[in-house]
Parts: sequence; structure tokens; C-alpha cells
Amino acid sequence: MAIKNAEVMHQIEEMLHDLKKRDKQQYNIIFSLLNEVFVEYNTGKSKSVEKKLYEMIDAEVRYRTQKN
Amino acid sequence: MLKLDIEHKKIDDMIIRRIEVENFLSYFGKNIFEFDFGPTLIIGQNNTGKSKLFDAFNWVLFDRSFKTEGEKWECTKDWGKDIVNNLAKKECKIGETVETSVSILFNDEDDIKYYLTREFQLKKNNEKNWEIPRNSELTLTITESITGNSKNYYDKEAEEQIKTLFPENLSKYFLFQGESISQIMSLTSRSAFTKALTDLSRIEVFENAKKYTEKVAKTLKKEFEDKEDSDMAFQARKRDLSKTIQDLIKDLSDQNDLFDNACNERDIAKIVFDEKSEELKKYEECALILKDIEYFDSQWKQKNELRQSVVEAQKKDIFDRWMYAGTEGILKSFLDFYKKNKIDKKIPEPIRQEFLKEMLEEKKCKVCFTPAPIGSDEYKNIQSHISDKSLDKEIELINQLSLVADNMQDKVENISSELQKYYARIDEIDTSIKGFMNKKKLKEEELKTVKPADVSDDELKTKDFAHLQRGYEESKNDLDKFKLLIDRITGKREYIKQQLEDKQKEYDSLIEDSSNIVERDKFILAEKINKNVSQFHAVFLAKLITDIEKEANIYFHKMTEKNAALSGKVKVDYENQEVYTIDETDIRLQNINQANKVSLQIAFVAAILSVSNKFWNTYFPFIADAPISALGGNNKLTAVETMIEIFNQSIIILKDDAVTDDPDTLRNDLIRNLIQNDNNIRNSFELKMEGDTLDEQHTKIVKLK
Repeated sequence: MAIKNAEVMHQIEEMLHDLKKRDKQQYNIIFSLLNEVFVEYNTGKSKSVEKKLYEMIDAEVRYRTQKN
Repeated sequence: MLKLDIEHKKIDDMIIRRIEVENFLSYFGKNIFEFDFGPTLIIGQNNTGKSKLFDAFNWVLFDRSFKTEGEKWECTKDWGKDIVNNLAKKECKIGETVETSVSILFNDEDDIKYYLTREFQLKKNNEKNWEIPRNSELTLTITESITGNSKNYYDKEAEEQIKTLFPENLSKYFLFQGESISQIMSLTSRSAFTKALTDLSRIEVFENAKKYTEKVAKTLKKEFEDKEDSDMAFQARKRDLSKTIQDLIKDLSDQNDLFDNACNERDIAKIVFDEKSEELKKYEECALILKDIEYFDSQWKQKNELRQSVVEAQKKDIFDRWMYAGTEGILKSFLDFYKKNKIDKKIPEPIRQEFLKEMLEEKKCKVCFTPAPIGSDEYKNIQSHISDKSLDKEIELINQLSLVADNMQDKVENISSELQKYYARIDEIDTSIKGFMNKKKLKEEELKTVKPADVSDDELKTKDFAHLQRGYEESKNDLDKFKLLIDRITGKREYIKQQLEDKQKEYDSLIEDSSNIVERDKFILAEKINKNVSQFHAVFLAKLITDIEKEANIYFHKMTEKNAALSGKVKVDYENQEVYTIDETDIRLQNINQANKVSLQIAFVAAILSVSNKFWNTYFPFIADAPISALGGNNKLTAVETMIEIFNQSIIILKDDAVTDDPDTLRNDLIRNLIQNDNNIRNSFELKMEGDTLDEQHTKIVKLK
């Protein structure tokens, strides 16, 4: 049976609880990354996870730079 | 950080509702098994179609069935017409087709129904010739219960859909063939252990995530390093440090490879060492016993030889003296007579002839000193002694006889006591001989109990024990050598890691002054993400192992608690990639028996499925064929009860231990009682074989519950 994302992501969220407190942005990126990886695993189709990761990191850094 | 929820949630998840088996192997016509949530037990004697039902599940899902002749799984193409039931083929008319099919109906928690059918049709050209298609055909219909909408998939597309629902790499765990358990879950093979864990825990998902973050971090770091900094000196320093770090990473990677190779070599050496130890132990005991047998045998021979020599030595003497046994009385009488007459001077001393001549010459008796002139009576008397030698002779003989009799008397008197001594000595030797013979026999009996069953007496006698010992020593040396190598590499790795850490800190401190802020921040963030994902992966794995061990112990304890001979706790040794049992002091238990081994393997697989399923919130139905064929009695019962408890839906196919025409055994059969009394078991079937000839035999289903 394919992995059910909602339940699993809830468990992952609990596992990353500490990180969420320390660094929410990083947590968001990792959470999104894992979600994408699960979808890719479930469907067996590439979800360009690597590209999305680059984009998320790039967006976060540019946001921080502008903020500063 | 990690909190795996291991509360057992009973959810109405994927449930197999029905399997329809038509003209497939031993099943003639259409045969239907209905299932429900919870356990279904299917029992049957040998060759009643139990494994064929298990094959039906495999065939419909994965196009494979187990062929006994080649002892391997084969697809329809390889089976050909043999996959079709014999009676169905027999009854098929010439020119007509016979259809073989297996269908399963299952639904998931959203009540989406899946109806999967695999079909195979043969056309009978004549009694010996069939038209056989290359492959079977697969159809999957997916229906939404609420809307009634349905969609059909065929062949390849249907296979793709099934793979997402039932991943083939996990199939051997939820489509569980008990007699292949040692291949599925070897308790000592690193690769089997890793595969089981990887397959069942689906840790691949996190490993994929780690791969992405590693790659992205590496790429962003390269971008940062390639971009020239405005300060040339800084740029040069950055490059140098980066290169040093890369070299250290490469060194570490090389050491890691060496470490892995050394571990593999060590594992191989360990297998060899274990084999040699086992073999040596097997024969060591025999060697000691054989040594004793040899000793007792040689002692027995020596004693026999001693007996022989004692008999020979005494024979002549005893025999010779025996002749005189009984003469004691006569000798005594003679000697008494002689002594008395000697004392009474009735036996004169023998007179030498020369002495007589001297007397004649001297003309006097030298005994009484009476003169004896020539012609006198005394002279004539002396002369008469010279001529009458017979008297001298007689007296000489009498005196000699007395000497002989004297000697003989001693010996004759001692015959009786010497005979007794002789017999006592012989008895002593005989006792010793018997003693050694008995000891030898006892040792020979002992040898029979310790001798390996597959070794003949001749083989044992010619076994070179010294060679075995040498083999053992060599394998131990090899193992120690690899252990030492691993220790050395570990030391070196630690050293490189420390250097790497130091250089990394230096680098991190340096790049704070870089003018390429965006590139720098991107790669730093990417590295942090990578580190967190790796840590997350490592912590997840550690927690997984702990939970698996905990669950495995619960299941193992349940399966073994009623059997005093089974013992220990389950230890999942991730570092060494092994699963074994330990005692109260955490010492590994050696030489576990078959029942223990089977219980351990089932407990481990069940624990992985259970923990993995709880985390991923998916529940495969557990379909098991002869999962516990090595167990009997109460062990079997507790194993079945444990499996029923672990899985939301289980279809367990078991050999029927009861002789079905005997009411007593039926009444007392543990599994039948379980079926009868356990309300959780809503469905149960018994399989029987009908038909007189091989062509006509087919499985008959009897619903027990």
C-alpha cells in the first residue's frame, strides 16, 4: 500500500519539533523537502526535488539578505 | 526528538475480501474463499492444496508460482499448461478452451474496491496437443464505492498499479512462505539483515532525501568556491583550505572503503571460523573418546600378552611339578626312613675306591684305624669292598636319592601354594583384562552418542584431528588479523575525522569575511539542511532499531513463554548486522535450537512489519504458508496466536496435525480448538483432496467457520 502522506508528515512534524523551535525557516525547507520525497516515492515519478530544494534555499537566503 | 507512536491502531485499512481460484493447479472449477478483517485459518493435510492456494495469491499479484520440481518460482510462460488443473484439462473437449483464473477482491480505507484477475486460456487441439498462449492476462478494475465510478487497467498498466499497492520487494514478508524463512531472514548474513531492514522500514525515503541534500550542498559549495573573491589573498587561503578539506574527505572516504572491505573480509573469516569451530567441536569430543578407546585397547592387548607369558612360564614348571603332586607322602616317608637309619648308622658312608686302596697300601683301616696286615681278615674285608662296587653304588644311590628327595620335598610341598599363587595371578590379570574391555565398550557406546550422524565409523577413525585443529587455529588467526586491521583503520579514521573537523572550523571562521555573501549563505544553509537531514535519518534509524527490538521481544516472549526449553531476549545488533538471543547477563546464547530460531525469525520479521506499518500507517494483510512448520504442540499454538495479534488481517495456512477420522484427536487438536473458541477468527477452512487418480485429484474446500 502506498504511504499515506498526511499521517506520516504529522509524525515527521513531531520528530522535527526541536528544529521548528530553533530555526523555523530551515524546518520549513526540510519539511517541504520530505513531503516532496514522499510524493516521489509514492508515485514513482520524479518531482524535481533537487531543483525545488535549490529554489527554496535561494529564496530563503535572498529574503534574509534583503531583510538585513 | 523522535517520538514514534507505537500504539497499535486497528483501522479498517486494506482488506482482502475474497479470492476466487478457478482451474488453477489442484483447484478444479471455481473455488471461493471469503475473508474478513482479522485472522483466517486454513488447515489441511499434506498435498491438499495449501501451498497451491498460497501460489494463487502469488500468481495473481506477481505472476509467479512455486514449482516443486525445480524448487523455484516460475512465471506462467515457464509453467505453460502445467498451471492448469489436470481434471479441467481432462474434461475439456477437443476444439474447446479451458480457462484458468485467479481473482482477488480487496478494498482500502476509503472503500475503494480493487478487483484483480489474472487469466490463462488453453485450447485443446487433440488429446496431446494444446494451443498455449505465451503469457497470462491481467485486469484490474478500481471502483469508488460512493460514486460507483470505475476504471479498468490491463496488463502492464495493471501491473504498475499493483506495484504501488503491493511493492514486490516487500512481498516475501507479507506473502510469507515459512519454509523459506532461512533464506528470507538469515540471522547471520549482513546483507540479508540490511535488506530486510531496508525493505520493510522503507528507510529508502529518508535516504533519498539525504542524497538530495548532499548533492545540493556540494553543488552550492562549489559555486561559492568557484566564485572569485575580491581579496586575492583571501581567495588563495580559501582555496588552499578547501583543497585540504577535500583531500581529507577523500582520505576519509578511502579509509571508509577500506573499513567496509575489512568488515566484509572479517565477516567471511567469521563464517569460516564458525564453521571450523563447529567442525572441531564436533570431532574434538570424538577425538578424546577415540584416544581413550585406543588406550584401553592397548592395555587390554598388553594384559593379554602378559597372561600368555605368565601361562607359558608357569606351564612347564607347574606341569613338571604337577607330576609330583601326590608324592609328598612317599617322599616324606622315605626321608624319615633315611634320616632315622642314618642316625642309627645303618646306612654307612660310601667309601671311595681310592680310599680303600690307600688302606690296603697302608695296611690299616682308616675309618676305625684297626691294623690290617696282608692276609688278615681286616685286609680281606677291605679288599672285598673294592670288588663289591654294587654296595657302594647302592649306598651312593641311597645318599643321592636322599639329596634329591630332600630337594623335591621342598618343591612338592610348595606345589599347592604355588598353584594358588599362579591362579591368583591369572585371576588378577583376567580381572584387569575384563576391566579394560568394559571400559573400551563404554567408550565405544559413548562415541555413538557424540559422533555426528553424517560421519561413518571409518571416516571418524581416519579423520585427521590435528588437521582440524590446525584449520581452526588458522581461521582464528585470520579473524584476529581482520579484527586488528579494523581497529587500525578505525584509529586512522578517527584521526582524519579530527583533522577534518579542525580544518572545517578554520574554514568556517575564514569564510565569514568573504565578499560573496549570497553564495556563502546559500551553501552554509544547504550544509545545515544536509546535516539536519542526515541526523534525522540517523536518529530515525536508531529509534527504529530500538522499537523493532522492543516489539520483537514482545512477540518472541509471547511465542516462547510456555516453553521452558526456549529462552533468551532478542538482540538487534545493528552495528554487526545480526539478530540473536541473549541471556539475563546479556551474553549471546549459542547453539539455539530450531524452535528458538524459527520463533526468533518470525518475531523479527513481525516486529519490522509492525513498527514500519505503525509509522507509515499502512497495513499489509499477512498471508503465510506454513510459517511454523518447524514448531509443534504449544509452540505452534502460541506462534499462531501471536501472529493473529500482530496483524490487522492474517490468512494463515497450516498443516493439520489432527487425524481427521479420529474424534479424539479432533477434539484435542490445539489449532481446531483455537478456531472453535476464538471469536476473532471469523473464517476458517479445511482443505481435502478428492479423486481417485492423479488426473482426477483436486482440492475440496470445507468451511469450518
